[in-house]
Formats: sequence, C-alpha cells, structure tokens
Amino acid sequence: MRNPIIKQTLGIVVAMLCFYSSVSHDVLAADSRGITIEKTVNTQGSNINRGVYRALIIGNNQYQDQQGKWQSLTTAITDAREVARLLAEQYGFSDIKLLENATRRDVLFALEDLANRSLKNDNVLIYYAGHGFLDDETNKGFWVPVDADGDDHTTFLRNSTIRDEVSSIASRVQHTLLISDSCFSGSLLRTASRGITEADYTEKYFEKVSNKKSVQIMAAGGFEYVDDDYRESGHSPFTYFLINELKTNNSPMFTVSQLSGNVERAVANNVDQVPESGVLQGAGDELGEFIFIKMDVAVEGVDPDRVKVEVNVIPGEDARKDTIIIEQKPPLTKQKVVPIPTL
Amino acid sequence: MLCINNALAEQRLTFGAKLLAAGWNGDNGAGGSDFESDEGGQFGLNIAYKVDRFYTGLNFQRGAYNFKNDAPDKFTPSARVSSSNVKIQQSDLDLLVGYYFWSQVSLFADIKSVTNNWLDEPYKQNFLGLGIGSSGYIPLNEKWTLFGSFGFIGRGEIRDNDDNKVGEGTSWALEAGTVYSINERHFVNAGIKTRKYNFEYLDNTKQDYTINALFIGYNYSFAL
Repeated sequence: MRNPIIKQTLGIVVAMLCFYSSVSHDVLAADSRGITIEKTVNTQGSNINRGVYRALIIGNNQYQDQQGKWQSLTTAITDAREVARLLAEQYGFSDIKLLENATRRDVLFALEDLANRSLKNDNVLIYYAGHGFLDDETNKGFWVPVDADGDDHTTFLRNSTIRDEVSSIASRVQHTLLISDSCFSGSLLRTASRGITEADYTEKYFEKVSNKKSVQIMAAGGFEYVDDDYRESGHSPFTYFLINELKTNNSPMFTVSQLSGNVERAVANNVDQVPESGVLQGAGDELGEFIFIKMDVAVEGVDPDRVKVEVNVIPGEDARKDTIIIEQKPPLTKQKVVPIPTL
Repeated sequence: MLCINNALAEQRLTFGAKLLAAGWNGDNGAGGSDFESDEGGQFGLNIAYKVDRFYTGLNFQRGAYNFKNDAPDKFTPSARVSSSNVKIQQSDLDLLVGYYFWSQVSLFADIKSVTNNWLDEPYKQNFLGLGIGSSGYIPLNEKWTLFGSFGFIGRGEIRDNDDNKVGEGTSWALEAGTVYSINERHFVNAGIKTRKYNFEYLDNTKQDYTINALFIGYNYSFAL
C-alpha cells in the first residue's frame, strides 16, 4: 500500500552538492579561504532527483533441498547484512527490508510489497545473494530460493519472473538497480553502454541522468559459476569488492556505471569471474543513472562536522530508528543423520 | 508467513548398512576356560523413521565368530557342555524407539535379541531383554558430526534352542563414531562399539563376554 505522506520529501542536499555543481575539490577546498560548507534545506532548487532511497536485500544461506543439489552457502547472509548496513549508514537508504533465507514465496511477496510502497521519484535497489541456476538447454537463468527442490525448475525463480517483478517496480519509480550475486546472474541482463567517460561526470551530467529513468543491473558473473567465499573474507568476491567500492568511495555522488566499472575490474583482476552490468531489457530504461549519495564524504581541509549530506527521508518517520526491517527465518537445524543407536 | 516451514514436522526415513570387524572374548566362569575368537564380524541392515524429535528403528545384523580353541560353553537347564574349535553365528535384532529430549541428545528404549548359533552343532542360545540408553551427536562442521550412545539391559532372559530358560543376564553397550555427510542424502560413518554381557545360568555359573568392534557404515536418508 502506498504511503501518501511520502510525497513531502525533503531533498537531497547540501551545500556540498550545490558546490559540486562545479564538481571540483578545489572549490570545496576553498572553505579554507572563507567559504562555509553547511547544509541547505532548500530542495526546490535542486535539479537532482528527490526520491526516497529504498532497498530489498536478500541473502540465502540455508538451503533446505532434501535432494542435496543445493548445498548451503556460507557468505550470502553476511553479504546481505553488510550491504544493508552500508546503504543505511553511509548512503541514506531510509527504507530497507533485509530478507534472510527467503523462500520463493518470500521473494515474490517482498518484491510485490516493495512495488506497492514505492513512489514516482524513488530510487529502489534490489540485492540478491544466493544460488543461481542456468538451464543449459533453454539458456534460461534462475534465482534459487532456499525451498528449491533439486532439479525442479518450478521451485526456482525464473529470470523472466524476476524481470516482470522488477519491471513492475521500475514502472513506478525513477531509478531501479538490481544487483545479483549468484551464478549465471549475467543471464538477467542485456549489456548496454551509457557511453560516459570519466571526464563526463559533471553536475550537468548528474542532473541529466538523475532525471532520466534508469533500470540497471549489476551481475556477479555472466554465464559462469561464481565463488562463495573470497579469501576467507566472509564475503563473495563480487560483494567483497562491491562493499569495498561503496566504503572507499569519497564522492558525494556515485553512479552505478562508475560503481560497476570499478567492481568489474577489481573482481576480474582477482578471481576467475567477470561481473557484468547493463540494463533490464524492456523495463523502460532511458539511459538514466541510479546515483548513490554518500553521506560521510571527507573533504580535504574541511572539518567533517561541517560537511553534511542528506538524502530524502520519509517524513514523519525516524529514518535512523527503523531503517532496516529484518525478516529472518529462524535458524534451520541442519539435518544431521546419525546411525540409530543399538545395544 | 515465515513460520510455515517450521511449523511442519519433518519426517525422515533412513536406510543403513553396517559392516563390523569384531572380536569376541570372555570367560566361562568357575570351572570353565577363557575364550577368544580369532576372527569375526557382522553385517547389518537397518531402517529408521524420524518425525520431529521422535524416532523409531529396526536393526538386524548377523555374522560369525571363529573359535579355534576354547569357546563359550553351552548351557541347558540341566547341563553345561564345553565348547571348542567351533564357529558361532551371532544374530542381533534391535527394535527401538527414542525421543530427542534435547536438540542433540535423545533417550531410547531397545528391545534386543541376541541369538548365538553353534554352527554344525545342534545348539542355539537366545538372549532377550529390554534396554534403555542415551544417544547424542555433536556437529563439528557442515560435513562432520560426532555421535555416540550408551545403554544397558538391566535384566534379560537366556533360552536354549528348545526355548527353555537357562539363565538371566545383563548387558551394556557403548558406541562412538563420526559421520561424514556426502550431501543431504548420503552419509558414511565409522566408529567403535563395545558390548559386554554378564550371564548367570541356573546352575549359578557366571559367564561373561565382551565383543569389541570397529565398524563402517552408510546411510541413505530422505525427507518424506
């Protein structure tokens, strides 16, 4: 159900973003020459998209498959939790649902729920970490929920179903980003280049792509298997570098094209896996960009307390208090089969 | 929504096979001799059904022990006959029920029958009793699990091949091993087991014996 009060969103912003119109650290550093950096509450004047940041984060570790095809994973939940925490604490996501060990029905229900509560200008991120499957004969890809039953494809989540659900969300919001950290997740996307070079990241560019609809995908791999644990980091390689990029990014505005490019290079340089990114075919992408707004950017020579970045929150709610809603399955007792005792 | 799967009690059926390499030794009590088999072993099959915390199972195993010298004496209601240079076939049957009162520890009751058949001689002996015990397991990681059990039969009856009662006895058993989970359905296990029997016959003769075994096993398990 939609929340009508969300329409009154406060805007992104900040003096910094205004200053960032010239996007130069030289200008920001001008603080030392008497320019004050402080929060601006004016949202009407901003040309950057003013939607709320929402996310559905799914991590599947404990697979219940009795046929033994889908073994439990070790890092998917850790990945999901860390991504959720990072988005809430550093990127101003004010509506995050973290779904752990999700069944097929759980995923579909959560996607539908997300679609129902998203509004026109919103920025919606969907992250999935878990098993993936590719049918060699039909070349169809799937997400594998924890209640998947062996080779029974009807218990999986077909790519076309995921596309339909994400398209439904994308039709309601301004920016949609699907991040899929599973095997064969590249089968979800169609590669598309936005043709932007590093030098093009100006305020004008951010305004332009912010106001164009985007439906983007980042996938951990193309048509290949991906690793579970990267160097015992507790994260998959893809999410390890995704998290790393989001953590180390020091730009107040960070596009998915920038993020995906960096992650793809880092992953490909370190493991035998090549992430892919592109757009969700047929979902209304207009070459816009999902833009991450970092809350705690450091500006050289400026007291961190004076650099304030805010993104839109849902009015009337304490965005910090209940930012992340966790739907967690009670831990499954891993079935241990021991011989029957005899005397 | 999230509780549906957990609300349903899981039912699981497990089939198992077990191979034991064992030695049987003991003494025939006053006036008798010690004995020890030089080779022996058993092969067993079992089936177990588990629903939530309750389980029940049936185990049957059979094998033979070869005694080149002295062997367990044979007892009838009226006589005791020495035995040597003989092969004794042993058949074990267990019918048990158990319940996991704690997540990894169960208590169980076992109706146990042990039939010793002196091959090539017209003599059989059966020990039948009701025992209780406790079993448990400790998962080491995703693949490996330690397991063990201990139980005893406080009183059982010994009968000969004519179904005459020839004595009574007690028994206890201790088992420990490890299970390796190949996947969600296939499990292999290995361990040690020792069984001790203390028999007292009608003529007050006490016969004790112990069977020590190393075993390997395989279980195929699936949810219903």
